[in-house]
Amino acid sequence: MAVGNQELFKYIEKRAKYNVKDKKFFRNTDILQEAFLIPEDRAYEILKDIMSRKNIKNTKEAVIDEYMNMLGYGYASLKEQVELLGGHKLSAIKKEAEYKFRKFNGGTIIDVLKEVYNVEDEDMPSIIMRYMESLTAEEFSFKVNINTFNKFLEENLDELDKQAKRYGI
Amino acid sequence: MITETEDRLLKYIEDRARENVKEKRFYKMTDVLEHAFWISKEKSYEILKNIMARKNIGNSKNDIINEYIDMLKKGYVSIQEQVEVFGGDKFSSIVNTAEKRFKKYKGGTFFDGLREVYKISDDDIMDVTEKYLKFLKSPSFVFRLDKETFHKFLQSDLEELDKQFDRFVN
Repeated sequence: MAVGNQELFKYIEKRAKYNVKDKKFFRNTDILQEAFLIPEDRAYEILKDIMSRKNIKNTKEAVIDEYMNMLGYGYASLKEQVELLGGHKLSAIKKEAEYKFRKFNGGTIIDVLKEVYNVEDEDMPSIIMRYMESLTAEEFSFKVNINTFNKFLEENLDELDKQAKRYGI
Repeated sequence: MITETEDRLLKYIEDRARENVKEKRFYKMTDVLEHAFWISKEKSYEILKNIMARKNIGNSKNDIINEYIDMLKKGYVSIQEQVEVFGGDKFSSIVNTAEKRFKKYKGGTFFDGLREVYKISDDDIMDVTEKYLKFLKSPSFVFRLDKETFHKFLQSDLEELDKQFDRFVN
């Protein structure tokens, strides 16, 4: 799998698990619908495909794992699946940030968050706190830069969604 | 010629003196000396006499502080003694204590370091963090949070320096 596809694949898996977190389902098609945001008729079709080949458990994990498996084999387009999930937000955020950095004249970390990432004052303490907590090191030395910030967004889908919203993505 | 340490201490004395008279008004020049440098009344008179015998200076807070700093620089008074009057070289003391405590530090997040090494309470932690982050400036989004810059931040903010000194003393 190409590197770009691997990134999409991981993102789909992460998002799918996030979408069903703390939720209970009665039918396997509901899991597919909620996890991958696919329409009902398509979810039935996929489930039929699965059942004709193998028995899987009735759990969220089993259904998600199986569909991920199928995506891995090219059952459906990764790009299209990502589009169903609202697009690859991190790439869109990176592009927008890059554009806004061109107009940034320097300052503090808080200035970066405010001016480049459009973070509102009321969100500031919470985003700083979570971002700082995402950085760990054996020594007391932490890199605060674009790469570690993007990683923070990538690892925290709710922060990723908030950032996408700030950019109107 | 003064050494690097003396230079740093001189700067510290100056910062502290200015902070001590900030937003205060004085009628007598000796009062400025007393408040800014915590010198006794008699000693203040002596110093003022010495100044007047040599030159005319304006009677603003800044004129007096500048002149006394100049005298410290020229060795009229011991820099070390003046620092002792202010309760010692808090910065070095903090750096040394932090160094010792870092030896037992096992790593973690930035907040873990503040809590475990610098003994910063949960009540203070966001406030210190915010002030520290506001202290760090960069032309681009490239920052490093570490001991050196954290100590520089404490050096730049006497209120935080005092608080940190107290955390390590208690």
